[in-house]
Amino acid sequence: MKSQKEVSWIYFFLGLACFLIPGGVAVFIAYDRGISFAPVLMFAGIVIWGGLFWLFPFIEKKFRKGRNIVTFDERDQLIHKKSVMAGYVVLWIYFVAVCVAAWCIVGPHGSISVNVMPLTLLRGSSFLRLCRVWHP
Amino acid sequence: MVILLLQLFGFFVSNLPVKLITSVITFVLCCIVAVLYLHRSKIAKQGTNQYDERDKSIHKTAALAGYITAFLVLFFTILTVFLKVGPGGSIDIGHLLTIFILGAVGLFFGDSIAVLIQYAWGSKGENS
Repeated sequence: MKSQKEVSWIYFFLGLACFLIPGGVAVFIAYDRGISFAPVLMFAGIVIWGGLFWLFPFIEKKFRKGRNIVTFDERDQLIHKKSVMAGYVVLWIYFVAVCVAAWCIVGPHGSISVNVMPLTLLRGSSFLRLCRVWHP
Repeated sequence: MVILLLQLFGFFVSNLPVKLITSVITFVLCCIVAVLYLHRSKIAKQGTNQYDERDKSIHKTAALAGYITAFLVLFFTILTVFLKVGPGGSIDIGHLLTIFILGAVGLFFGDSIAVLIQYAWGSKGENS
C-alpha cells in the first residue's frame, strides 16, 4: 500500500509538470504570437488529458477483460472513483470561487482578460490531480 | 434547460427591468434545483426501503458523469470564447456567470442522463 502511495505521488508530480508547463506555454504563445493551430491544440490536449486521464484504468480493464490478470479490482475502482469525485468537486468550487472573486474585483460592469479563463481551467485541473493523490 | 433559455433571453434583452426580473427568476430556479439536489443527496446518505445499495451506486456514478459533462462544457465554452475573442481581448464579467450556469446545467443534464441510462440497463429482463 505504501509503495502505491509513493507511485501515486510520483505520478502526481510528473503529471502536474507534464500538463502545467506545456499548458502555460500554450497560453503564452497564443498571447505573444497570436492564435495558431499549435497552441490551441496543445491547450486542448493538455486540459482534456488532465481532466479525463483518470478514465485510463477503466478503459484498460475493459481491454484486459479476456485475460486472467487482475490489476484493478473492485476496491481500487471504488477508491479511484471517490478520489476523482473529490477532485471534480474541488475543481467546481475553485471555478465558482474564481468567478465570484473576479466579480468582486472588477465590479458588475467590468471586464476581464480572456487569458484568465484557460489559466483557471489549467489550475483547476491541477487541483483535480492534487485531490486524487490526497484522497484516502 | 429553462434556466439556460432564461439566461440566453437575458442577453438579448436590453431593457433593464426585464433583465433584472429574468436574473431573479434564474436565481430562484437555480436555488430550487440546488435544494432538490441536496434533498436527494440526503435521502441517498440515509438510505430507505426504496433506496438500496444499487441505487446508491447508480447515483454515485451518475454524479461522476455529471461532473465530467460539466468539465467538458466548461472546457469547450472557454475554448470557444478564447478562439472567438483572441488572446489579447477581454470579455464582460457577465459572461463568467453564463459560463458558470452552462457548467451547472451540464452537471445536472449529465447526472440525469446517466441515471436514466443506468436504470434502463438495470431493468433489462425485469418484469415489474
